[in-house]
Order: sequence, then C-alpha cells, then structure tokens
Amino acid sequence: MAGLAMDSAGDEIEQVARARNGDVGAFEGLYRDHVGRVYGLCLRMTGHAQIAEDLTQDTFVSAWRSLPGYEGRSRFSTWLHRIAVNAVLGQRRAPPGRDEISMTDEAGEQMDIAAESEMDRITPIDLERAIAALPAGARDIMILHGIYGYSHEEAAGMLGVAVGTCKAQLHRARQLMRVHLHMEEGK
Amino acid sequence: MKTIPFERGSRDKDQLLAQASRLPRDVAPPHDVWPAIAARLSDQSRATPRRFNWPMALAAGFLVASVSALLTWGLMREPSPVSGETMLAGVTASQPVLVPVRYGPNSALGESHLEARDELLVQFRQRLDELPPGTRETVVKNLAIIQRAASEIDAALAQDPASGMLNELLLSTYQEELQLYSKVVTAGDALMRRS
Repeated sequence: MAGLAMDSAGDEIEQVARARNGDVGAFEGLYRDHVGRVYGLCLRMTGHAQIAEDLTQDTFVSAWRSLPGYEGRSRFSTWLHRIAVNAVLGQRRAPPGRDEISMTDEAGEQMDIAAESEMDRITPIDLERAIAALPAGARDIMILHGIYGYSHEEAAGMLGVAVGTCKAQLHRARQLMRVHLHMEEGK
Repeated sequence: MKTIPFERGSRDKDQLLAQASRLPRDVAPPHDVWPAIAARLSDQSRATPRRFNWPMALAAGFLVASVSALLTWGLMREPSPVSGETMLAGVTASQPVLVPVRYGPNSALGESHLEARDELLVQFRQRLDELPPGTRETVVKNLAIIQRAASEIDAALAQDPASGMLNELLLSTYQEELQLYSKVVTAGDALMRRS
C-alpha cells in the first residue's frame, strides 16, 4: 500500500515536471486526476454548476500558465486548490452585473432550505444543503476544513483571512447547521 | 460560556464535522471541461520562473497610494479660474500620451472589471483634455506608476497565483486606476463650472 502511494506520488511529480516543460499530455493527466476535486470545491463554494465549471476551467488554465513558477514546496493538489479558491473569491469580488452566485448573503438571510431530517437521519444531501445555505465566509471554512480537511492555518492562507477568523466562522457554521439540521447543541 | 475546541482532530470529535469529512471530495463535472481548457492553453503565455522581489511590489503599492494623494492635492489647488481660451491653448500644446493600465496575463481581473474601467475611461479622456497641461502630465505620470505596480504584481502572481495578499494588491491597484480617472472627471467638472 505504501509502495503504491509512493509510486503514485512519484508519478505525479514526474507528470508535474513534464507539464512544467510544456507537455500538454502530462498536464491533461494532472487534469484527469484532479478535476473532480477542483470542480467539487468550486461547486460547493459557489452553489452554481455552470459557474463552477467555468471556474474549474479558469483554475486549470491559470495553473498551466503558472506551472513554470511552481517549485513543489506544497503538494500539487494544495497549490491547485489555492488557485481554485482564489478563482472563486475573484468571481465573488466581480462588480455588480456579473452573474450572482451566492445562495445566501453575509447575514445568513435567504436560508430557506428544507432540512427536516432528525438528527439520526441526516443524509449527505441534507448536509450538502445545510452547507450550501451557509453565509459565504462560514461556508468556505466548512468546505475547506470540514470536507477537504485543510487545517485552519491552511484554510486561512487560502482565503486570505486570519486563523482566528477561520475558527470563528467554523463555529458560526456549526451553529447555523445545527439549527438547520434540527440538531441539539453539543451533538 | 462554552468553549469549543478547534484543534487538529476536531473533525473527528465533532459529529457534524465528522459527517462533513465523509462527504465525497470529488464531484465529476457534468461535461468534460478538458477540450475547452486545451483550446485556451495555446493562447496562454507562461510564466518564466524568476525570483520575485516582494518589497518592490509593496513599495510600488505604497507609491501608488502616495502619488494618488499628491494628485488629489494638485487638483484641489488648481488655480485659478482657467478661461476657456487658456484651456484650448493647453489642448493644442503637445500632450503626453495617455495609455490605460495594462494588466498582465496572471492578473485575473474579470471582463466586467475591464468593462467598468473602459466606461470610466471614456469620460476621463473627455475631461483630460480640459485640464491644464501641468495637471495632465501629473495624471500621465500617475498612470505610469500604477502601471509599474500592476506589472510588479502580475510578475508576483506568476510565482504565486493563489496569494490572497497579491490579489488584494492587484484589486487595490485597479481601484487606484479607477479613482484616478474619477478624480479627473470630477476635477474637470469643477473647472468647467468655474469657467
């Protein structure tokens, strides 16, 4: 198992090196390996399939352009995810008139999703809906920390906010989700 | 007050976070995005690896801010009722070339940003001709400084495209450009009223 993981990591390092040197085929391989995670991240952060698809495209184009500067100090997936998160944040900063993407506002209004399940019957769909209904800041940290497993320090770096802000947003996310999922405090 | 721990491992201890961590991380897009990406790759220039001088980018950012303040001061102290004739004479004098800021390939400003800038640019160009030559020169110099900052930030983004700080710097540089145009439009309006 460890051997397989080593081979896989070694393959990726080689693929990255080839892509850095302009090998489009190698870059396509990296795309195939990572597109699901990048798209999942964009979809959850935007709540909009078409925008997530566009941002996925932008992420890989940006990665291709910037690959010569990638020095391998972080894992390729982490580097790629940072580009994806940045693409999402850039999309949110776009002036009015561009497609609106947020399902909620910062105050957490419009949180009118149906989440009727009882605590012991929470399905992945319920959970996804509850996450999608969170205000943007709380949703971002729930996705990066809760689903994708990034530490607060890593998530804070990706989002360009303080670690304390991440922790506070996660606390807020959990409280709001508990309300939506009809969970009792502390569960 | 209840304190909730958030250290590493909190995902395992908290039921909600534990459930979230079991959600699928990969989601297949409805379409294969690769053909569209591949079509865009050939049009993209690629970053050349080089060491980026962070202090230079920050210095460029500060320079933009301070020059912008100087411009405001310059516009506010603009003398004296300028007559229509004087302004016309100014227009016929050799005018410095005005080039809007070019944002490089690593600067992910959206189309809507550039469209908003171009709209303001139209008004700016109309008003620029009405300003005294000295002020016009100051404006052009300011634009050159903003351009330098934008180029520095673009080079840094080539190294670290996901940097939140660099992207904030990029956005503030873009806003500086817009503010410069806006100040000129406003100052031009004031001069028109005075004349």
